[in-house]
Amino acid sequence: MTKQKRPAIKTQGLTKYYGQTRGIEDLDLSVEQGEIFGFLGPNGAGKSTTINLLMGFRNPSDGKALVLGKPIGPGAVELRRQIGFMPGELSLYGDMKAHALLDYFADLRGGPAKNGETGSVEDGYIHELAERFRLDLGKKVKNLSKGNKQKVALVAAWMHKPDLLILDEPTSGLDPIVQEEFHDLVHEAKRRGATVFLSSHVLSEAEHLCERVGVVKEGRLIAVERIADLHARGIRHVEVQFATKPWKDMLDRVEGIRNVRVDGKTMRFTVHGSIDKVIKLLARHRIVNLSSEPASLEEFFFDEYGEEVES
Amino acid sequence: MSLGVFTRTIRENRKALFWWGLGLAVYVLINAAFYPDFKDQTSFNELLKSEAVKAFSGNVTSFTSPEGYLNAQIFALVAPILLIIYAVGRGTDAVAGEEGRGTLPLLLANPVRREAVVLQKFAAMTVTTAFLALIHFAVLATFAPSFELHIGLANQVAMGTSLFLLALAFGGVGFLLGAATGNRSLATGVSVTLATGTYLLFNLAPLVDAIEPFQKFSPFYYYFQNDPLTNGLDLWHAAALAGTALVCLGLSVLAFRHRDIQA
Repeated sequence: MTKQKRPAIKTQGLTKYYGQTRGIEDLDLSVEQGEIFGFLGPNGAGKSTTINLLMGFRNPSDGKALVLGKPIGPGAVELRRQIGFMPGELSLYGDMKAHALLDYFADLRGGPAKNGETGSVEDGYIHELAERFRLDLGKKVKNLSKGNKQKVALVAAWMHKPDLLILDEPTSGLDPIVQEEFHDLVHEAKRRGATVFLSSHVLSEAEHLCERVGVVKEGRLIAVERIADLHARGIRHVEVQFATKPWKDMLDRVEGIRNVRVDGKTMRFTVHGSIDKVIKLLARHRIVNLSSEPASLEEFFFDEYGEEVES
Repeated sequence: MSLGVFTRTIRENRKALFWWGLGLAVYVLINAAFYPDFKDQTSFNELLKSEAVKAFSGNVTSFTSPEGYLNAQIFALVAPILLIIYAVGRGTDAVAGEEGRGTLPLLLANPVRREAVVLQKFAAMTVTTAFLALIHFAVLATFAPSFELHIGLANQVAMGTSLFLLALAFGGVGFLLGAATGNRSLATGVSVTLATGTYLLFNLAPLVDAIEPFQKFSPFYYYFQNDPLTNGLDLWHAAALAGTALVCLGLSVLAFRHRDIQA
């Protein structure tokens, strides 16, 4: 890790209230440059509020936010040259053809790059991205499927090769092939030194993509973790079909196994932490089928942080 | 600075503008075409002896003179109402419309100043409204003589200018309310209420002593009191309307510059 660089995002006591309604409270967050950071939490936890503050769409009630070392706010125009943004509520100009919309934004960014000028859009890069996403730029935006609209928004976020990408729920609704392409884009951005800050309510998505995640619940940041650490502590729902009827206490010796239920030849249980020991133990038996699914984020964090938040 | 927001706003209005222009042109033409049949029916002027009729004819002094006919048929009510509706529609759409449709965050994620967004969208509203006033003027100027409506070109220009500035003033109010609140329904409702209220104020003031002193608070006073078709442009009156629009523009910039947007 390069520690000498200033953080890409740094907030101190960042707070937003809408009248009496809580948006986010006392958020202290630091995202390193070149990092892929996931901002996780259930719907309504304050993720979008935070992103709106980081983009300068809204003003904090208290605290401050530095983005790429500079204070962000409604007037921070130059800063936006270095930021690529994708909103959570995807509303695009429906009557425009996709290429017209992207050209419009490219024009607002200063058009095609002229000798070495940064922050503007390289000639042909929009089409290159569209091709990668198999996106038909000739169609009107309103006639595109939800997934294709998201591709348009992704291209808009990426086309100027920004130093920082702020993405609100970028992959909900993307088809799996495009999701892979999206992951490649994120990693490419990281390789050229860009920072990616993305929000999600799906842990598994962040798992595959992010190096570190912050978790918000009810407007407060309750945890910042490395994904590798989270992995070791994650919960999985496992269902095993045995060739012969299993006995209920056969997994008792394995640490982190809970809620064991046996129904005929099928056994269901949850695994907290590594699944490795379970697999090794099960390997001694004849297994017909095995499925393992990660628990939802809500479930996981209620389990991990539930009591902490209540107190 | 890129003029993208201006160009884009004009472009997305092209079709609507075409149909508005066509509608206005047809309305003006039809009215003009009936003048030769109407001009000899001087008995209509008897109506003007009634205070009630007078109240809703603006300051029309004759229904059968070319000026009186056009004022009564077009400029006292229909043309200003249509252009005000158009301008208020554009004004409230500019910021509040984008905000309501949810497209504002993506627009503002670009390196474009909020001040520039306001200025360019206001300019687009001004240009499209001016275009409609121009169509209106051009159709009348071109075809009026063929229907015995002989009016000096300078006075027609004066009328067209007044019409444009009146619409722009109300468009400016709608723009400001939209930019300040982000709520298009509210902005439209208040603007339309103001337009109808001040229209009534202008027309009823000569009849009702209680409201008579307030007539000058009505934009319609500065639009129509001077009878531009007969007397040409009163520069102070024109300046009052243009000033209203400019004040609205300035306040819109201030209101929108730092406001929390709905995102």
